[in-house]
Amino acid sequence: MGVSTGTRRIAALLAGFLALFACGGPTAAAADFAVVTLQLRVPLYLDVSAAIDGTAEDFEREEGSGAHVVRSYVTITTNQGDWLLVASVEGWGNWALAVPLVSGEDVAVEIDVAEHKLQGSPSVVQSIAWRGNELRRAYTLVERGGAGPFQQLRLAYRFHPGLLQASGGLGPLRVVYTVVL
Amino acid sequence: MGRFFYVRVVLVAALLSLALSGVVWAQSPESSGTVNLTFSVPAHIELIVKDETVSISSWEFSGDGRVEGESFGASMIGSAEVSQHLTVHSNVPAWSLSQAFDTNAFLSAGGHVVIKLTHSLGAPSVVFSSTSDSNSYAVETGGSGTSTFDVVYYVVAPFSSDVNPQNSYNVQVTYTITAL
Repeated sequence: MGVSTGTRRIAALLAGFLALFACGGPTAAAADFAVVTLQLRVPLYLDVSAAIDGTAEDFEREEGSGAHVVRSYVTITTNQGDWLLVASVEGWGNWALAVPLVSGEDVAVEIDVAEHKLQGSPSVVQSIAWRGNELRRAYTLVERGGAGPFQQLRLAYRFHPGLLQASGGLGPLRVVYTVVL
Repeated sequence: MGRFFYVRVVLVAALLSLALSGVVWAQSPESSGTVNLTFSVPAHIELIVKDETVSISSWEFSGDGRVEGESFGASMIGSAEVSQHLTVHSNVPAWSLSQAFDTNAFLSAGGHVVIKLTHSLGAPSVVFSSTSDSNSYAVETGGSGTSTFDVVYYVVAPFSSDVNPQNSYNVQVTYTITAL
């Protein structure tokens, strides 16, 4: 006794559904995903530059004190939050030097060869002095930076005329700025 | 007599052959039939990632921090280019590819991630460029066959952010492909 055609068709349909079910079906295979992990470590960046607005001929004569003033600035670019700025001052001549140190853009560091002198308060953060024939000393200028990419310190070097005369003139002066993280 | 005998022999032979053919015909079963195969090819989409981990090793300082037309200010910008990074095998007529960024310490600190996806074959063309700022699902569509893509990852660490150079960061990007 044979199997009817209708029975065969029903069996074939059932087998097809079972095969689809076993394969997961179209719905389960219609999406896929993958995950990529980016591994990164941001490198430390630090750049220090210094410039003087002009040459020795551009010194301004300060009214009242009669001092000669030249302005300068130091720019620090870093992505590190904490840093120290150290200044190393070198000069020639028998003269005294005082450096009041300030932070911010509007108050200048002042070098006065006559005496210790603090000006620009309350922004002054430290005062350093250099007297006599010491040719090289290092000073800490600013304690901390990092609020932004460009930390700019404006500096002004003031030279008192009276001492220049007493010491027979002011030799070359070099200030080296170093940032320590 | 001889001629009548010959006729009879022919008649008997004819009757006999007719009878035999009838027997053979009666014993032959049905020799042809039809089988109907009913099946459905399952939809298949497969997304293959060449490198599950990508290290950002090339960094440079940028004053304006421009990446893919967007500016992030003074930044450290790292990048990594991965050729034929994504491969899609599909037998469906249409699918979409999207990506999403997870929430992590790097993005929370103000970092940014930019992804540029291009076709690997033929003329390079940008498929999509997305940033982690909006966590947008930039979508690319495709069809049946195999598609390969190149990926460029840009990582932006602005100086104004809290991204710490002393720390290591992991950023996860999830790619999803879906049949339309």
